Amino acid sequence: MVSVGQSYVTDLINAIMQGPDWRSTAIFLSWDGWGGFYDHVMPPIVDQNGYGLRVPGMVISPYARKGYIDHQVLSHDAYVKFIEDDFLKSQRLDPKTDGRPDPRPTVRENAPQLGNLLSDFDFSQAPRAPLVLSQTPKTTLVPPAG
Amino acid sequence: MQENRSFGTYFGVYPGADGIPMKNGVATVCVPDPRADGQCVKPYLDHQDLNRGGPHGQINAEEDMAAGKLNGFIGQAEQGSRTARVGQRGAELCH
Repeated sequence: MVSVGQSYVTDLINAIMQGPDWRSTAIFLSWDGWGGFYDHVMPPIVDQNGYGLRVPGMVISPYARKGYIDHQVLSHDAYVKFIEDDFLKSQRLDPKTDGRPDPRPTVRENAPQLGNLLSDFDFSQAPRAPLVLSQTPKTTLVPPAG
Repeated sequence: MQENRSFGTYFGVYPGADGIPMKNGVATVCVPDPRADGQCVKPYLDHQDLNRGGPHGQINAEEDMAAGKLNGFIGQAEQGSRTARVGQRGAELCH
């Protein structure tokens, strides 16, 4: 059920926010696919693998811009790009040579359409405090029959 | 990482997001329902705590998108059993 899943995720994020590493944490919460649900935007085509239909994505961090809505074109490749920029000095892992072959036809972090998650952060702002949410918020959800 | 929800499902009416196209509070987009003589169904609020969505292999994505018309979603959901064929093609099968 949606409520069970969201309570679980809330619990994980609450724990991270209240843990010792929150001040240097960035959480990227996203969904693996559209699941057959409606979306009105035709995704751009960057190679034979897509992109696919849009999924939600959230950035949770002491340095995340508050209330910011990112309108860039992004895909899950943006997470790899951000990690490589951050921890590998922008070196790219190439599926042809990284020793772990996978179905990516190219180094997709370099797709010209792909935005940069760095836009979602402001590292000059005062670090934001944890925002601990209820695991059992009031809801209008209707449980399944039976 | 969670599974199987479109952007529109979560943020379709979120202020400032590129959500469901609306005019005067009414959706201006709809998806035809083949089992209802092609009646076009606008996006609606679903209060059900359980919603498995539709099939979501590669072929389903192509049919959902319908070469830019974005109007295949209901038809694909109604033909959910076709995911078996998608599985044979090696596309994603997940729940």
